[in-house]
Amino acid sequence: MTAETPWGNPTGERQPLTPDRVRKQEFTRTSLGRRGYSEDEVRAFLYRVAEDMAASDKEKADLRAYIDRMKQWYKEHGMNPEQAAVSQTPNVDAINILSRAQQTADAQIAEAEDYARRIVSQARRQYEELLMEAQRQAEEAANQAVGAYRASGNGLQSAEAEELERRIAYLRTFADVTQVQLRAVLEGLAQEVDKLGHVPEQAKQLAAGPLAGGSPSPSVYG
Amino acid sequence: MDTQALKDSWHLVSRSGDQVPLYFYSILFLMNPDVRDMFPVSMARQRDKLVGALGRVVSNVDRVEEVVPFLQQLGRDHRKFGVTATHYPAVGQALLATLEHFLGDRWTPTLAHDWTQAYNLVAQVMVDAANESSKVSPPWWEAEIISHETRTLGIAVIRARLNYQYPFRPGQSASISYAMRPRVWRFYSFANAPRQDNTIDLHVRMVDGGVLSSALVMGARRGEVLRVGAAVGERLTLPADVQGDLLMIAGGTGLAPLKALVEQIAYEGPTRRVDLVIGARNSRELYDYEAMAKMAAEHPWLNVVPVVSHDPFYRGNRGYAVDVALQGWRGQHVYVCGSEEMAQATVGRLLDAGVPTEQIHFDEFTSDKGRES
Ligand SMILES: Cc1cc2nc3c(=O)[nH]c(=O)nc-3n(C[C@H](O)[C@H](O)[C@H](O)COP(=O)(O)OP(=O)(O)OC[C@H]3O[C@@H](n4cnc5c(N)ncnc54)[C@H](O)[C@@H]3O)c2cc1C
Ligand code: HEM
Repeated sequence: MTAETPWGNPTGERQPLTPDRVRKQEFTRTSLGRRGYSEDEVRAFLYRVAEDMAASDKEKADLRAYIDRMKQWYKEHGMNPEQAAVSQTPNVDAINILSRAQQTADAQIAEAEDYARRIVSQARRQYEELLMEAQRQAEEAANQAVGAYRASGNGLQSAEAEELERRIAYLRTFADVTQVQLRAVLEGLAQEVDKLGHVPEQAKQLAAGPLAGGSPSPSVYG
Repeated sequence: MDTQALKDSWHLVSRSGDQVPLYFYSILFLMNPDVRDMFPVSMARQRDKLVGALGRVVSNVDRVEEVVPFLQQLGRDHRKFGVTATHYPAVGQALLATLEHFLGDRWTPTLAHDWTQAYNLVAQVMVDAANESSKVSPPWWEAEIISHETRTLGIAVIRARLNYQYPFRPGQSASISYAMRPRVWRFYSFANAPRQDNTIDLHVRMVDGGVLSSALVMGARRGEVLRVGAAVGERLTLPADVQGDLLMIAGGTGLAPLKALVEQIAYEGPTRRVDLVIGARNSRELYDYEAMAKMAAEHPWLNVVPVVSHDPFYRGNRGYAVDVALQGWRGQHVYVCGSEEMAQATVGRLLDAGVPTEQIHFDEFTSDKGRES
């Protein structure tokens, strides 16, 4: 919510880790580019940890479901183990199945988004580097052109003409360097962005599975 | 009502982390399949938003007086999801079932009673506000894109015309959704003060791999229609008690709400001087500098200073916007807006430099770190 939410968390309270938080954890970069761990390895490890957490969440849920079933059994056999009445909530197995389907869908989307994010930022980096290099070469060409203009020394030299020479040389070189390569990078980027939109649609079937009442593939719940 | 018991029990439940919202949503969707469609496909990010807010707001019911305006805004804003009064009992039911499940033996009839009452109180405030606003405004507005300019790779300036009169104040934002990414709502700040012709400007930066921002920057076209929720947010508005000159520090598209404030000041007649420092990584990301420079040329009370942090070819000010801004701080109120990273770092530097907390107004463009905590 955008307005300040007026109720804070109790101070000093540590937020429980969730698979999603683990997946999205960022690490600050070491100041020396070469130190630190391989980003891919860290990322792969985070995904493993997130999987494990999700699995343990599932196990706890299974245990709670088991307890609920026991309570239900006692109740049905007139051996009410507790004072509190068991309320009318949906079947525990249904809850678990839906939770797991959602977790599976979330994990797939997270992975796809992460992949897209890396591809796009790579393309963006490439673009920035290309542009920087083109700028460097263009500056150089512009300086050379001015040098050549001055050297030609035909007595009619003016500051405007010199500036014109500079700009023409700059733009020509800049265009030469960027034209082909930049377009290729941009096209790649546009394609990746397009794909982003399709990811959720695939995962949607997963999440909708149990609700749609179909018979979703067993692997989804595996 | 034993509010301490509410707080304690919520505290206990939230220790189960992700399992709580998972259970909550599963119950909610099983008992009310029709509401599934209001939520996005991936729930990972959303999970602690609604459920976290629910638990915190309801268990803090003893402070409900303080949060009434916030709840009203939340209630009005919920209309855009298609939420109606009839959905509130379902959410309340799922909340109670979740609490019961995680509290086990500690879930007593007294506690159940208190939670029910507290939830109803909160829900009532939201529902009343929603009902009130439904008499005068639609659940969301539709805004037809009338221009879409890509100013540099990954930043677009979008102008759209709203279909009805749309009340908002400069510095506010609204959540926006776009048909190409159904059910995904993200906040964007208005980059203008309200206009006669009902148009709004948005400055959108593409977050790498970001779901909605990528679509808005790379995909959206003239003639397409955005959905716009009710305007929200007070952090960057200009209240009557903020007097005197202002110093503004923008990072990237954080310029948007600050530009809106500058326009407001221009319309209302300037009684103050405004120094606006625009920070960007490279000169290309100074995507709206021309417009700002033009305003500065028209208005003697406005001074605009661009600062670029990572661009060896840039010939103007190099470094971080906050450092340049601090050279010009003479006791003014300071407005800051940008990415979470930029806003945090900037506010930290301001505090270090002795700018009093109550004189710093800031907002962050966070995407998914809970804003409610
Ligand atoms: C009040 C408010 C006003 C705002 N105003 C504007 C505005 O005027 N203009 C504007 O451009 N934006 C604005 N934003 C930000 C905007 O709401 C979105 O968060 C942003 O556009 C990204 O949305 P998305 O759907 O593209 O990305 P998402 O799909 O939500 O997120 C991008 C993905 O990348 C990840 N990600 C994002 N950033 C990082 C990071 N730094 N490190 C690691 N992972 C990351 C996320 O975790 C997620 O997986 C505002 C936000 C708020 C709260
Ligand atoms: C006391 C009651 C409620 C509170 C305190 C509450 C709070 C919240 C908050 C804080 C958010 C995040 C807002 C944002 O980021 O835009 C949210 C989102 C949402 N809420 Fe509620 N809410 C309540 C009731 C309801 C009800 C009854 C429904 C209807 C089923 C509902 C449906 C939603 C939906 C669909 C979202 C958006 C999810 C998304 O975009 O991912 N809420 N709620």
